[in-house]
Amino acid sequence: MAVLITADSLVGFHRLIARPDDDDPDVVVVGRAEIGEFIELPAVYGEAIRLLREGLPVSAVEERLAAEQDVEIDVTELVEALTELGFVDSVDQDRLPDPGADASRSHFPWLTDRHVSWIFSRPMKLGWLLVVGAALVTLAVRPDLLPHYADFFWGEYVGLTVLVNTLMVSLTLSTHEMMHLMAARSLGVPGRIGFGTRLHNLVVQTDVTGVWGVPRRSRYRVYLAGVAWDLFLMASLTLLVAHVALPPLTKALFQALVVAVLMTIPFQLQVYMRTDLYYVLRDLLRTRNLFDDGLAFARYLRARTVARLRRRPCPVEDPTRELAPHERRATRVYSVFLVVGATVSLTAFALFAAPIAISALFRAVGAIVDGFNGGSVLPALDSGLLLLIEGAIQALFVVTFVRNHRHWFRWRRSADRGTSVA
Amino acid sequence: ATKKIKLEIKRLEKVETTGL
Repeated sequence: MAVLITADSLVGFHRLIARPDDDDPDVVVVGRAEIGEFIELPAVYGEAIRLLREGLPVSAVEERLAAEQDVEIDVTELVEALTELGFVDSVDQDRLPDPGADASRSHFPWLTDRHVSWIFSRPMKLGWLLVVGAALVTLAVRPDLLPHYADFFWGEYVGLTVLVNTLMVSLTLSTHEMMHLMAARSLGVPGRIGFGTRLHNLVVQTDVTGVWGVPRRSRYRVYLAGVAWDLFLMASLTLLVAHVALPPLTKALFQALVVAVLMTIPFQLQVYMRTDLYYVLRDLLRTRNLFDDGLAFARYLRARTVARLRRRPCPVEDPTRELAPHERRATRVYSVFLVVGATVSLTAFALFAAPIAISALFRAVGAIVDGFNGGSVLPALDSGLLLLIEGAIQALFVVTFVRNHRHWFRWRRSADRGTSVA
Repeated sequence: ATKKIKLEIKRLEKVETTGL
């Protein structure tokens, strides 16, 4: 996007968020929540943005900052960079193309902190502690209520059981994501719910990139709201099963839901993927782009190893060299953790989860064929139902994966045609 | 007696919380 910027240029901005950095007083965070774009830059350039927004032309901003702070900065370069990022609305009254025009809109835009801040109030936190504490005491007194894998199968038919369990989990997953969104909204941050992938897992995810606009201590609320809901739900169901006379089927369904929700918790602990607890870890370590920088460092190590084996200079520079010492150390350790975790996870999937799924698929197909050949109809229908559910979920994974990795598939198609892609 | 300050921008990663 070539824009002519002169010393007399006046710059108009989209709605931007600016705040001091959490750790470095010489740095500010500036972003545009509508397009999910946030950056860190030297504080004096943040001051330049403020002066430009007040209506000062480019040269006047440079002169003002030189006089007030004894600094020389390049405001033209700043405006060009901010234009590339989609922060600039106009230069000298000429409107620029807006990447925000094509950006996905926030979900539930009418939901404001006025509606949801009570959920994160102190009395509610106390209530959460009481419910979870009471459930733990109940389980200590009645260990027979501890979740057991057999609780998952509450019915005779596997397909029907999986269908009902999937519907229940879908409801609680939706609530889990709504909790993230409501936590973000309580801080004035937009959010959007959709599907995503983490390694071989299909996930529901909430894009709350706008949390970069609030201080770190407030961000933990957004990261932890989902798991807090999961724990609250499991505790509430446990208390109901233990202390209320429920019909047997209701009790069985509640216990199945506890098992299904419990099985989602270990996933959140796998912080070598971008899970809820990864973001908690990232902020606790006071790093910014732990996953991306960790992945870049792993690629650098691979390139360096290959270069040494070939006795050539390494073609890639260490991507962590410009990070602060504490961040460099954390990123390098995380990088090893990322590679080992992802390798173990994908290997386990290839050796166990995938063969089990394929074996179950063949068994289900066998049962359906038997049904057509005069065998039992109900098991055949049940198998068909199981195939339908699991097939739909796998299809959704493939569609989501391709949509999120379009650049991979575009490159391959182009490579097949023998053309090069810049 | 002025300090020349280079423009260095670090883009911050997306934040996408998850449920599985």
